[in-house]
Amino acid sequence: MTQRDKTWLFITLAIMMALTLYPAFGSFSGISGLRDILLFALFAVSLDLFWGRTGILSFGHATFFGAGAYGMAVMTIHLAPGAAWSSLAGLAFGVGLAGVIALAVGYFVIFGGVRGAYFTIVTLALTLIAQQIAIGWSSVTGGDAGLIGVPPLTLGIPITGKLFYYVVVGLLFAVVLALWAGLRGQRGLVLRAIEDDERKAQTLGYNTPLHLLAVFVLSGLIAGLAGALYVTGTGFVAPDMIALLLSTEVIMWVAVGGRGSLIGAVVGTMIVWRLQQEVSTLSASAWPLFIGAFFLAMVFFFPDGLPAAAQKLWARGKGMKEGRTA
Amino acid sequence: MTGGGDLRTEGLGRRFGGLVAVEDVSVTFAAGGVSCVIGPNGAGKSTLLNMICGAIAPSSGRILFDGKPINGLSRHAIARAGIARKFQVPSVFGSLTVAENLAVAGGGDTEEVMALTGLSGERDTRADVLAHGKKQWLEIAMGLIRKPRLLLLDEPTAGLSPEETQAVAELLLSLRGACTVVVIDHDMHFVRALSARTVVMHQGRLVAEGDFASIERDPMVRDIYLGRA
Repeated sequence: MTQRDKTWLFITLAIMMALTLYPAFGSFSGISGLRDILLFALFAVSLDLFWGRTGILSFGHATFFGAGAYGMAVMTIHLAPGAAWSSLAGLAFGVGLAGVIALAVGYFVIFGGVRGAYFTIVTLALTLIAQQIAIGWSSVTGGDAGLIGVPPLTLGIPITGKLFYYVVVGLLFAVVLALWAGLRGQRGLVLRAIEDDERKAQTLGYNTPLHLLAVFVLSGLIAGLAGALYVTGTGFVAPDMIALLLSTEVIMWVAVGGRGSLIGAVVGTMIVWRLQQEVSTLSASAWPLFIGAFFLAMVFFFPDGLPAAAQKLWARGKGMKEGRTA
Repeated sequence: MTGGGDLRTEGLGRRFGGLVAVEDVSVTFAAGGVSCVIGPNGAGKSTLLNMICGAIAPSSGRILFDGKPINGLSRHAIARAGIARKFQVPSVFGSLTVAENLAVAGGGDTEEVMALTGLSGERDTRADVLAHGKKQWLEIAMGLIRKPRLLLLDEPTAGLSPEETQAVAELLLSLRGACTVVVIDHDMHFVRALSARTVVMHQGRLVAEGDFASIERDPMVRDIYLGRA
């Protein structure tokens, strides 16, 4: 294990420990608020898996989060209301729906050779189409008003309150650690190689579209899982869970945390949500304007994310101190 | 190496709109042999290589590898059939170290190949900070480590010193019998050092082939290189 790996594990486990201890000090509303933020962090991890490991930016990830959310809501409210297994069926339906959309869209786009900015534009259009379906198909989705009355997660026993919080923390870190472990070896190297030079990777015998599609679908499944769990906490689903603003925000969360590290997406989500709370206390309508300006600032001044910028500053400060000592 | 593969093209052609890049090229590169493809700029050499490794589809003709047609196969399928390619501009994975590049390229003994190509001291160096010559060696190493049956090299000595050029020639000649090697190069000193079977292309067509000594004496080939043909 390299020093870099050890540092990554230390930071990840430290964050996990802090989040595990939080319910001992936090209020009920604080715990449920942080639980929702951690589900958004899981969503951000899903984008970081694709964007961070392949270099291809998806502007349509809210589609998968929304598919998970609507899948869970439709199953538990319309198809199997009150059934003991409805939460499990809702999870399967929501995650499956997100996966099928990722597979169908990803197959044609990725095997069609769409890359770079074109991929970003196509996925942006995907979110717009998905949102229009969510609004227009009102008999199923509830239209503009969405669906109210999604029951709490029940897996044999009701998963609510602190238990739900711990399930989310456990799931988030299980996903982060599993992805980290799975991408450390040859698989991770191949993805980095594809990001560097896809043509060269093909001439070495790698079916690069298949690799990219596998990562895209896995990313969509994780986003769908985050969406499906999120609505069991809020109790409702609405079109803004499948909207362009959410697709923009998740890019922001990953960009702030620094793409490619997975745990950075978790940190970035928490930083931006904290900022959102502060900005919203000043003006509720100022947030979309602020996030746009903040995004531009990130791109120009901290393209590798805030943790990387802090690391550079620390290294520079250390260098200056050593220079003075010498 | 796993033994060379036999490559044959039959009436191979490629057009880009009205431009004929390669026309009716029928040539055989026998298993285990070392061959050079030479010709002035625009002769169609790189287009020929691109068609063989699946980067572009032929407009006409067939490509047979060990007797089996490989036209229409994807790049990765052709690579898996045992064909490795080195590009004209060194193509390595810049964000990976030398050892990681070789690990991605696959399979073989990384230390042995690094020693063979003089890269042992650069094991943990990121490829994007390597000097041009080292990148050339790395890409050759990435081809070798895959133990290909056919190794296609597009200008492997560009930017190398005379000593390094000689070393590449010796390395390629040492592969004779174990791997079929096809080299495109403009450097006549290098081609002479290989002293291999040489195929001459001009304006998309194959105009001469034979051992390098006879090709060097061929008046038509001299005219082509002097711009008189």
